[in-house]
Parts: sequence; structure tokens; C-alpha cells
Amino acid sequence: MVLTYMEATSVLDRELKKGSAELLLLSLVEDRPRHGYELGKLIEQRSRGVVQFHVASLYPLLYRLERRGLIQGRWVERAGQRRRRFYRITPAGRKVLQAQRSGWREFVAAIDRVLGVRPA
Amino acid sequence: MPDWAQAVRERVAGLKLDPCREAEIVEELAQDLEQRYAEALARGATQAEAAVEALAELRDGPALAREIARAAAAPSLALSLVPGGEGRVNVFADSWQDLRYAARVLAKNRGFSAAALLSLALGIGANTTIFTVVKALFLSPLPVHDVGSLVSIFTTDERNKGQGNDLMPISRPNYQDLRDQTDVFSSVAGFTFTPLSITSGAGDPEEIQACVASGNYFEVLGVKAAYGRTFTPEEDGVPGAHQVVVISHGLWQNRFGGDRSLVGNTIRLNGLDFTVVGILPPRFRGVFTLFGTDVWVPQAMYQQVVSGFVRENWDDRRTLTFFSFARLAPGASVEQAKAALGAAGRQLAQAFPRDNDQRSFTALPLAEAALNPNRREAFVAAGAAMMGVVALVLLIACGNVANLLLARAAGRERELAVRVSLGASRYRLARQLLTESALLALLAGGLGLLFAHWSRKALWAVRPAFLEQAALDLSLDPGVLGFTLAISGLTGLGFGLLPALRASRPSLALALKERTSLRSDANRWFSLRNALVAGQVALSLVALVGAGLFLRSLHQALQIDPGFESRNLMLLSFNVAAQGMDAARGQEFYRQAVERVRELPMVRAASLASTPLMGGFLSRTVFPEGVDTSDRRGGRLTNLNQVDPGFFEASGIPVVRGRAFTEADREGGPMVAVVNQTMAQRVWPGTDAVGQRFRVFGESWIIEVVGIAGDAKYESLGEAPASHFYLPLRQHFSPGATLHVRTTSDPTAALGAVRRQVQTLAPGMPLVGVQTIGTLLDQVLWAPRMAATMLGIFGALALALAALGVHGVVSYSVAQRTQEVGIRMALGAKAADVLRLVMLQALAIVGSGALLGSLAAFVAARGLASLLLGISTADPLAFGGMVALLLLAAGFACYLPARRATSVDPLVALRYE
Repeated sequence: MVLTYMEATSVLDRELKKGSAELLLLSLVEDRPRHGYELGKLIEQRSRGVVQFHVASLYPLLYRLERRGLIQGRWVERAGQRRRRFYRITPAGRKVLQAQRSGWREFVAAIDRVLGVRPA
Repeated sequence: MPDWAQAVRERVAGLKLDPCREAEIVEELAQDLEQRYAEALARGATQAEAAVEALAELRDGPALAREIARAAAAPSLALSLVPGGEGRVNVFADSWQDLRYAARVLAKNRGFSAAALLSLALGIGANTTIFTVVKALFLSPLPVHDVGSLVSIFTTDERNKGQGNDLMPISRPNYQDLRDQTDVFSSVAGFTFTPLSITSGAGDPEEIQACVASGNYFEVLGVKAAYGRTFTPEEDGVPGAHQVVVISHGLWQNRFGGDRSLVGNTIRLNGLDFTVVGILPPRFRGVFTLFGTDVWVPQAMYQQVVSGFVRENWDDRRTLTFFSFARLAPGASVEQAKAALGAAGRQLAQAFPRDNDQRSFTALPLAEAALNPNRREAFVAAGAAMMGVVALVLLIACGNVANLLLARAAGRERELAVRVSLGASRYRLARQLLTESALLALLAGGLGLLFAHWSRKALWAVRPAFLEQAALDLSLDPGVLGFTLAISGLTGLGFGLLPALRASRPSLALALKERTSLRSDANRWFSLRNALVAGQVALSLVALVGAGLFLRSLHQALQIDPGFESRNLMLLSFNVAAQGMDAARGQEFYRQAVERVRELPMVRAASLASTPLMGGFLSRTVFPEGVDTSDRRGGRLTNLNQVDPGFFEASGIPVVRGRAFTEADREGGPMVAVVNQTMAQRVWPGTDAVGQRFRVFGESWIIEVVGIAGDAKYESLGEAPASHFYLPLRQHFSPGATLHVRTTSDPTAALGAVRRQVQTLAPGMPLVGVQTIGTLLDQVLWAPRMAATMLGIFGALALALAALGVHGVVSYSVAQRTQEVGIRMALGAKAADVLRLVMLQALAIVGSGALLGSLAAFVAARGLASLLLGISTADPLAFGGMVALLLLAAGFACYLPARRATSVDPLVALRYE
């Protein structure tokens, strides 16, 4: 099968986004459990609006991470509030996060070297 | 505001997700959308704008559905679950998962786990302890080669069939004839016992039991020495020529510190030097479980070591003082051996009609004969009773844990329901729950083993005197460990199965609904728990009634008049023959010993008897004057004791008519006797026994009755009155005698002084059985006291467990009915009414349990008839008292939660929902 240019860019874009999205989500639940809404908001805030996740893409991602055993969801009830689903990182998730982090750094450094941009 | 949940549901509806999973996804996404909507409103957007913005999040609907379908295929519920589906076959992985999950669950519920562990460990520990004893008594094979082809040979006598003494020892001449004349055995050995005093090695001179054995004794058994050798045939050849001895491992350790150079060296026994030729392996202490020996001497040495009655009758065919065992010839069976012995018996009865008339021989497997075969049934009954009691305790513990599990399962219902809805099969859930029970039971088994390790030592330390020589092996060997493992496993299944089956069938619809405080099926839980608690109450009542019966029996036993004065009396036994004294020197020693002891200031009276009080008896057949003494059937088997002047005064047995013995009743004088009241009435009914005369079978004596003594107990407190007569020790010498010393005050203070007085007369003489009559009576009462104590402990334990169970269900019920109680109180019910309501319901459970328990106890108690003294098995005091105790405890256990119900504030209760 041959991919058109457009299709190819779109696939690359999607894969890149998916790969980095996983990294983002894992690093955000590294310190403490968070619920889905909070995760979406945090990514938006910290990327200053550059990266945004819609509900339609955020939750499937979370479910996939959960299915792979990298995070674990848990309903938590607080007095006077509705229960919410909090996600925490699992030991397996920690390992993957560590690997992805260093992989990401290498990747960024490699791209920078190719593009001729000196690291700051 | 739009219905967010509906919006999400529409987009995932076609995915055919698990309903439960779908509900969660909808809930989670709807929350997110709602929050985004609220945020947009806060930023100043209109409601319509905010709704559009939020719904835009779901823009890529089909992609969302696709992604979710892929991502959410696997369950990821809030509860940490072990899902497992119908089709899974990886049993090992599943089991490991189950086990880890079970460990987590147990670790999480520490209180529950501790309570369950403790009650189970006590039950399992008690079972292991008793099993150790039972196994040592009945199941441990003797440490000999091929025990299955070894038999013990016994004499039978038509005249005393069915008197509890059917199997008797054998006489040495008969043993020799059987050995030489039967061909059903490949070899036959014989032996007898004798006490010896040992002065070598560490410690005081000591009296030990010796086995005087035929030269082939060890060869027939197939027992080899651990060090050195056993006897050679020559050593049993020329009488008195080989002063050799084989000793037990225990004696070697205790007295000689396990010094291997002892082999080939001499030790001093009865003042003679014997060369130790061998040391036996650790577990071997002879062929009788309850009577172990420490030294073995060849029978060719009998003149040097055996004394008194046994030596005098060494070659007498009538005197049954020998024991014999044999190895069956290859291919021969025990039945064939019995037949061959019967035939040999008939021949010997014809050849020696005067001695062997009506006597014959029989065989029993050596393993069975190792426990006194005449008493074997009583041992088995006692063993079965103890096993029964501890099994009861374990059952109660199981009931308790099952109850705890049920209570907890009710709390876990939602979890289980979720798992069922995720596709876990009922089998899988039940297995998970059973794994938890099994883990609990195994942990309890480990704890129980620890408990057994301590308690069997404690139990053995308080054994009675008659077990002093017992050679029981109470080690926690693989057999015991296997037993513990097995009962732990069964226990896990026992208390886990019912809750597991019950809980693995949760009512899905109900359980998955929003949490409610009122469970509509709560009553079903409650009724199963009710039944369990009623069962616990019933079982604990059985144990309690058992304890009550033995307590009453003990009380009755303490009321029994032993016929002698039991206060301020001490005993001390010695054997003059073991010092090499003949009858004349022995009599002189007796006279001096009594004289010296009487000089002590705290001694009021002192005298000698051949058999101590409560020490059993010798029996002879007596004939009133005028009856043909050649036919034993005309005589009566009667117990006798040889006593010195002053015995009746010292012992406190009253002489009710005639006179006691005096210094004049000595050798050469007219033969006299004092008989007890029972003998006087039975032998000379309606006439005055004093002045009557009688003969003893096999003797030329004609004895005149000079006095009548009161009846006493001679062996056990429960025995029926028996004929008994006393002969003067000075006319009928006995090489062993017991000093009876009556003191002015506490006899324990006089023990040391009395012992020193006797020891200055004969420094090397071992003094045995130095004790007060109180201690002796304590030992006589050992069995009932032990039974009462153990049943008491277990009964109390059972009561505590049952009370806990009652408390548990009533608390649960009260908690469930808080609202109902609130309504009743709001409608005017008083605290007393509420209290009555709860108490009545609880007491109905307890009452039905008590009724059931009484019936079960009534039936079970019948099995104890032979072990109870002076009361019926339906003793009303024991039953009534224990039922009252149970009701009291149960009532208290109900009262606490019932009172809590009365303090319910109607307002709070009604606001509950």
C-alpha cells in the first residue's frame, strides 16, 4: 500500500501526538492521582494552550494506558462531593515513563542536531 | 443544561460494552463535560454557548466510540479485582493470583483476621496436641523389625473369662514348652520385669526397671544396639556366669552423659558389677508402650537380680510372671498361631492337669498388645472422647469463623456482584473465597502447631504416676504434621464452603444498585448466620455439659470415703532384696526402720505393708475351712496385703471386731488373718467371721480370722467393695515393702527426716514412691480431674466463641433495624419495649441452640458412662447448671447491642436515608 503525502503526514502527526500524549499523561500522574478533567486542564495550562486534548481523545488514551497496566483508575468519594475517577501511576507505568523520558530527550536532541539548532 | 450522560450514552451505545463498564464511562465523561460547561458559564458565556462548547468535546463521535471500544475492552473497575472468565484455563496462574489477592484481603482486615486466626489456631492446636498423644498410644509402630509378623503370647483361663482380665502373662515353664513344641513360630522370646537399684553414674541411687530377658530377645525383635551389641546366646547359657547388661539410650544419656566409652565398662546394679555390652537406639524401651525399661539382663542371671515371689516361683508352672512374644514363621498368620497355641494348650493341660487345668494360650499382634490388652478398650474410649472434645472445639471455631466470613461477605456483596457482571464464573468466585479460607486455615495451622508444641509438654509433665515409666514418643513428626495440615485444609473447607457458595451467588440487580443502607435480602444473610450461631450455641453446650459432668464426677469422687484416714499420712517404699538381703536380714531391717522412724518427734504412728494404700493388690484363691481345696472353683479370688503390727493404726483403717496384729503374730506362731467387712459377709454370711478358718489355694496353711477391718478402697476410688484380707508381714515375708507414716502435722515436713532415718540404715538403698497419701489420691483422681480441666477449658473457650457469635449477629441485626427501631420509638415505644423486642429475637436463636445442644449432649454423654464416677450421664445438676451458665452468657452478649438499640434517637434514625 502506498500512502499519499497527506496521509503520511497525518499518520506521523497522529503517532507523534499519541507518543508524546502518553508521556504527558504519565508524567502528570507521577506525583499524585488526578482525574481526567484535571489532566486535560493541566496539559492545556502548562503548554500555554499549545497542546489541547478533547474529551473524545483524552479518555480513550487514559483507558488504553489503563488497559496496558501503566495507570490505574479508582473511584474516590469525598464528603459532600460526587465520586470521581482518579488515575494513579503503576510501577509498570513508572518504568515506561522513565524510558520514554530519556527516549524523548534523545529524540529531541537528535532532531535539534539535524535541524542545526543548538541546545539552549 | 443538556443531559450530559445521555449525550455520552448515545455515542457509546452501539459498542455493546459491558453494562457496568458502560455506566462508568458515561458517568466519568458526563462529569467532565458538565465541568467544562460550568467553566464556560463562569467565563461569561451564555448557556447555549457553553453547551455548544462542551458538546464540541465529543465532536469526533465515531472516533471516540472506536477508541473507547478498543481501549475499554479490558475491564478496569475501581475495585482492584481478580476478574477471570469462564474460559480461562490457566489454573496455576489463577491460583497464584487468588493467593496474592487473599493475602491482601486478610492483611487489610486485621481485626477480622486476628479473631479468626486465634480461634482456629486454638482449635487446631488442641487437635494436634491430642492427636500426638493418640498417635503415640495407638498408631506409632514399635521401633522393631517387621512388627506385623510379631505376636504376643498370653495365657487364658476359663475360670476368669470376662472379668476384665482375659489375657494373662505366662509361666516360664509353659513359655519354654511353647517355644520348643510349636512350629508356627520361627522364634520365641520370654522376659520378666524386676526393679534394680543402680548406684553408678550421676545422681542418687535410683530404682530402675529391668527386663530379665531370654538371650534371643533382641534377635526376635530385630533390634540392634546403637553402640556395642546385644546379647549372645552363650550369655543366656550358664546361670550366673555372664554379668552383662544392655541399657536404654535414655539411661545412658541421663546417668552417664552419653559417654560412648561406657560400652565394655561396668556399672553397679543391686551391688553387683555388670559389664555394659550395648546401648540401644533412642526410641526402644521394650515392647510395652506404657511401661518402658532401662536395663536388660540375660535371664541366666535371674538368681542375682530377681527377688521374692518371682524368684521363688521361677520354675513354677502356675505362676504367671513371664511375658512372651514370638515371630511368626514365614507364611504363618496370627489365626494359625492362635490355633497352634490352642492345640499346645490342650496338650499342656493334659500333661500338667494340676497346673494347667482350664488354661490355654492365645496370640495377639505385638503392636496391639503393646497397650495393656485387657484395658485397651478403655484406652480407646478415652482417646476417642478426647478426640471428640477437641473436634467439637474446632467445629465451634469453624462456626465462628464462618459467621465472621458471612458477615464480611455481606459487606463485599457489591464487589462480588461487579465481578460476576464482568463475567467471572460462580466457580471462579467461590474458588477465590475458598482460597482466602484456605490461607486463613493454613496460617492457623502453623500457629496451632506452635500451640501444640508447648501444650503437649505441659500435658506430659502432669501425667500420673502410672505413666511414669511410659515410653511414649510425643514428637511432632511428619505424621503429626500431616494430620495438622489435613485438618487445617478440612477446616478451611469447612468454614469457607458455605459462605463461599452463598456469596458467589449475589443478587446482581440489588447489589449493583446505588448503595442503600437497607438491604432487602439482609434477612437471608441474617437467617443463615442465625442458624450458624444456634449451631455454635449447641456445640458449646455439648462441651460445657461434658465439663459439668466431669466436674460433678470429680466432686463425687472427692466425697468418696477411701476407708482410711487420708490426712497426715506419707508413704515410702523400698526393696530389701535389691540390697541382697534374705528374708531374715530383711525382717530385721524392717524392724529397725520402723523403730527409727517412730522415734521422730513428728511421727505419731508408723508401720509396713507389702502393698501401699491405693497401690493395687495381689490376689489368691481362698477356701473357707471344710471346702475341697483341690478344685479351684470352690474358692474365691480374694485380694490380700501383708502388713506389720500397727498398720491399722498408722493407716487409719478401723478394726471393727476382734483384734489387729500384734508382735506375737510372728513366724512359727499360729497363722492368723484380719479380713475386711465385705469378705466377712461374703465368705461367712450370717455368722461371726472372727474365729473362722480358711485356706489359700496351693498352700498348706490354715489361717484363723482374728479380726475384721473396715472396707477401704484398694486401687481406685470408683471401685465396688471387694473382699480383702491381711496377713502378718512377719509370717509372710515380702522383699518389697512400703512404710506408712502418720504424722502429727503436715507430712511433707516430715518427708526429709523419715528418708534420712531409713537411709542411715542402708545408705545405698533407693527409696521410691516417697509421697504423701494426698499426692497419691491426686494421682488416682488424675483422669477425672484432667478430663474436667480440659473440658472446662475447652467449654469456656466454646462459650466465649459462641457468645461472640451471638453478639455479632445481634449487633448486625440492631444496625440493620435502626430505622425500624426509630419509627417504633417515634410511635411511642419505650426503651424497655425495644429492649424486649431485640432480646426476645436473640434469645429465640440462643434458645433453639440450647435445646439442640441439650439433646446432643444427652446422647453424647452416654459414651462417657464408663468414665464417670457416682453420677448418671443425665445428671440434672450438670445439665441445668450449664444451660443456666450458657443462657446467662448469651443473655449478656445480647444485652449489650440490645441496649444500644434503645438509645437510638428517632430523629436521627429517620433522617438516615
